[in-house]
Amino acid sequence: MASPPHLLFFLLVFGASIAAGLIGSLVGLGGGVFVVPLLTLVFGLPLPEAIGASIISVIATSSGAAAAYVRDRMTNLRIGMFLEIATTLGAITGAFLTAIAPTGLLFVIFGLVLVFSAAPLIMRFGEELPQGVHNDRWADKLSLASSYPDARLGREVAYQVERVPLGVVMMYIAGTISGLLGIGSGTFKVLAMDTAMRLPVKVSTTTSNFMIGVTAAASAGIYFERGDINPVIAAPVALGVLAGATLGARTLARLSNRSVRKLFVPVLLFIALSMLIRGGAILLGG
Amino acid sequence: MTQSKTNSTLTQVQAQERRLRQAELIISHVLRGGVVVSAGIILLGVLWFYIQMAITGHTTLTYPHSLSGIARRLGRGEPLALIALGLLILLLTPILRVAVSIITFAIERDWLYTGITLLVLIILLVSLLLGRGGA
Repeated sequence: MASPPHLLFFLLVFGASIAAGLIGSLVGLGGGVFVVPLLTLVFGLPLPEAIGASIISVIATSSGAAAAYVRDRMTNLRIGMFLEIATTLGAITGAFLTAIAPTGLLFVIFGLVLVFSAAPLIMRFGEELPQGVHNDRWADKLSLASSYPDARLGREVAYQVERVPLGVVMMYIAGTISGLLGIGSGTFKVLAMDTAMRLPVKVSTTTSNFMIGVTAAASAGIYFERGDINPVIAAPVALGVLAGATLGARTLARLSNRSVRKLFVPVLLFIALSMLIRGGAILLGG
Repeated sequence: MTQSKTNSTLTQVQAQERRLRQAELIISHVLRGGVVVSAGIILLGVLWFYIQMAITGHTTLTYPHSLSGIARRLGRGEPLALIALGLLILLLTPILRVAVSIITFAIERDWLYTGITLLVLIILLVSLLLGRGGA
């Protein structure tokens, strides 16, 4: 940015980020998936700076809400800590890949990730209470099995964990996507715990939220020192998304049932298409 | 908390789990404090930036990428350095959480997880060093 950003620019980015944080918390996707398209497509900012600002907002919402994730006993702290080895290594990989990947390709990948993120809003992945799951060797060694209080069933539900190595590989990929695009990539973390390790849905969702901030910090450090976190852009985005997410958690959380979330599927797909078109145009235009 | 299990080793594990969670909860509240403090610093930096621009008509648009750069530029009275400081504190909150978790696991004498969490911290610290390569 050659000339100093006008106060109006700051206020517009701030306002739009509030909306992104609000919608993100309502849909349960976090603000990141909306921030990057907003900054690049609407405000015309360079992709690296949009990603840098986004990853900061991901950390802000994650650290701000950490207490809520820990308080409810559905989060499995051990599984979270253990899998953070894979997600942080993935995030570092992603942060390096994003610097060498062609911009058009990054837009296309972002579009595809958005399409994929819409899927959990339509259909349910994983099982509420997976049956016939038995600890594998790793789950035993790492004492990953645990139990959680299920409010709906009114009892403590014990669960075991399988296919830990596959879960680790999928978590590494989830971390790479997070570092590559500057998003929390909660959808992919949940997918790894649901489909590979077959954890109860409530456990995988809350544990994923618990892990997002630490994953994001691994790539954010690289972005910061590379100079991709431009204070002029990151400041209104971080403050806005934080305000929006806080507001969303307080007022809209109760609305976030499946039918309401479905309303956002067209919005998500529209943004995905816009990112794909932009990416295609850059790739074809050279 | 009612437990249907009577297995004594299992309840021992659950008691440990509970203490672990209480410690993590305290860390989480500290983290939220960190987020509030950094948001406050960022906001102050933004106000300073626009006030300086309104009064003097110009401001510095380059910004620091390192702790030493932040300190140097803060000394020169550059508002973007204050914003960068707030952003850096925000960035460090999850890393702080991991560092404190190492201590919690160690107090519980859970050496396996003390090691696992230590490994996560090392990866995070290495990531901070890797960025300096400027790749």
